[in-house]
Amino acid sequence: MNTLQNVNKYYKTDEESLHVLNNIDLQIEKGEFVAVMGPSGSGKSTLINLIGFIDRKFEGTYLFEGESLINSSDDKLSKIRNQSVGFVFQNFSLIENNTVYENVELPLLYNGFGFGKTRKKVLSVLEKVGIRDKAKKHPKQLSGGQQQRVAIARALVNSPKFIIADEPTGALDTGTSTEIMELFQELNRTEGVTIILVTHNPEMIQYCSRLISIRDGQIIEDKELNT
Amino acid sequence: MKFYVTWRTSLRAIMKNRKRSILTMIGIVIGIASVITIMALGRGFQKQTIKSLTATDSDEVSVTVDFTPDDSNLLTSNAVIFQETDLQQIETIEGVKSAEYVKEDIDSAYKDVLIRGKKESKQIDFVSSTNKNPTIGRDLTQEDQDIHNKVVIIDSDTAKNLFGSSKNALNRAFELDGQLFTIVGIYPAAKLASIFSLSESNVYMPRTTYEDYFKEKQATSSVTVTIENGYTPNKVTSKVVKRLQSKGTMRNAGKYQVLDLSLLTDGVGRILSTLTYFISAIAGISLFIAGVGVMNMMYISVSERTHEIGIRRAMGATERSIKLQFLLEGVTLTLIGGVIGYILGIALASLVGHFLKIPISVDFFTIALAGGVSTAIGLIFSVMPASSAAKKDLIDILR
Repeated sequence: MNTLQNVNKYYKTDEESLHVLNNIDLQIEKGEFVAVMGPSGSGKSTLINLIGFIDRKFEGTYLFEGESLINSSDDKLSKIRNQSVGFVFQNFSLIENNTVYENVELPLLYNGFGFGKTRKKVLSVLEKVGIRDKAKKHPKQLSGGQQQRVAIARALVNSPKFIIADEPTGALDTGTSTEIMELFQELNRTEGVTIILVTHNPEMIQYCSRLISIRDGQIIEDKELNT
Repeated sequence: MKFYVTWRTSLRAIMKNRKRSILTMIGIVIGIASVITIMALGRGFQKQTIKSLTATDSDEVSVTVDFTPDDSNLLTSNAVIFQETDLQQIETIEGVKSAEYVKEDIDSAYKDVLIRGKKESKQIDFVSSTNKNPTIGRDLTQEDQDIHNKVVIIDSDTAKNLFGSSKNALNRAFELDGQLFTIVGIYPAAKLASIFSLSESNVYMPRTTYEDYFKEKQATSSVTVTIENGYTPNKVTSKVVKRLQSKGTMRNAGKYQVLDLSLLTDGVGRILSTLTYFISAIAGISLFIAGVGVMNMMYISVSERTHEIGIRRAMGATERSIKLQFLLEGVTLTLIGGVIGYILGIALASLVGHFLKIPISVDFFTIALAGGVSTAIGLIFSVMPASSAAKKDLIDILR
């Protein structure tokens, strides 16, 4: 589904040029639960921003469903972000002064839905992540784990092709982290959602089906996991 | 994202920042309110002035043609200046409905009265009924009117000057232009409220009596020409003047001229509207300042909500929809301000108009002005903040 061929990326400053991604070749198939692991500064966040169509400045080829989108317009990329990708961030990234319902509704609105037609979808996806009763609350009234569930619901609501989760448990305690990871695993197994997870916590890889280790911008290990 | 959905999103953002939105709006409200107040009052005053200048009983356009003789003695002589033949001449011109002598219809006059050997000018009203309630003697009656009675009532001041006291004046003779009238009543003299108030008349006389003894012969030095509907007054009057210059009875003794009232009212109207626009333009400066306030608020809003913009972009918002959202936010804000300002302005104008006795004029122009100006301010001053919001690099703001 996502194919990266010979991808390089540099951060250029005045004095030096930092080689963040070095000859990345990667193929991600539908239904996989991929863990991207590596220490801080290894380039893993850069890699998934690139996969999630947030970062367009790189060298090499990135094919999404066989199509290169590097020269696509902002409208086209926005549409793909909206319909094909779901984002879950470490800091949850919810809009603070909107309610849980409004936050989850947002991708649907950008997908052309009117206000009247979102209710069923929003509530069913909130049900799926187990916080249907919190729909009218604001993010600040929820615990970290609940906020991350809202973010996952928001990532799911447009039925995306894959979900990108950038250290989704980074700000959570161990118990909540386990709950969130189990939720991801369940979504992957029962719904067949493709998930690309970035983490530097080795405990998290037990939930995944594939591990990609990255260090200094290079893939040093790529293996299937038996779970 | 649908336009309506974007607009609702903007509206929600305004509502959620209520305090700041209201503070931003105050500038717009004050600006629009002051412009609308001045416009409504100014236009009302203009209309009122023009109306009072062109007061006629009918819708027909009529112009007055005057004759100015080279020798001014001609006017004081008994010579008939416009003769019947002249009137007939005028009436044959196409577009003229009728031509007749200017009707003299006066209600009062100043005439000299001899008081202790000195002439003093007194105002005399010719009335068909009075309601002066004299303290001594009686009021004028209908009978006085019917029999053209040679009687007058005078005020106490005049009575005192003439005969020493009000009592002495009753049933004495009052001389006016060689005619003697009996004083049948004396009423208390009115105190002048201010130098601008209309002076009260000193003497009242039955109208019918006045017509018997004083009415002069019809003035023949000017003619009222009534113009038929559908004809341009200017063209017809110039034809009339041309015809008179070539065929009028007095063409060799002077000039025929038209007193054009419309020129006068046009001029006055133009001065008043220029004045109104000028003052409005000064008030408009406050609108500009309000616009800068909107821009400031939008910039703050954009930088404060950078993270929100990033989230929206990641969720699939295009650059265009982000831009539209912030533009609509600015426009909605100023439009609400404009509506409030308009209502406030009209209320203020009605209040001021009520005290100054000026009718306020609410027309489509002022409504369109309020709406248009506030929308324009919202648009112009939100474009730059909205573009800067849309242009933010997604990778930078998601960190």
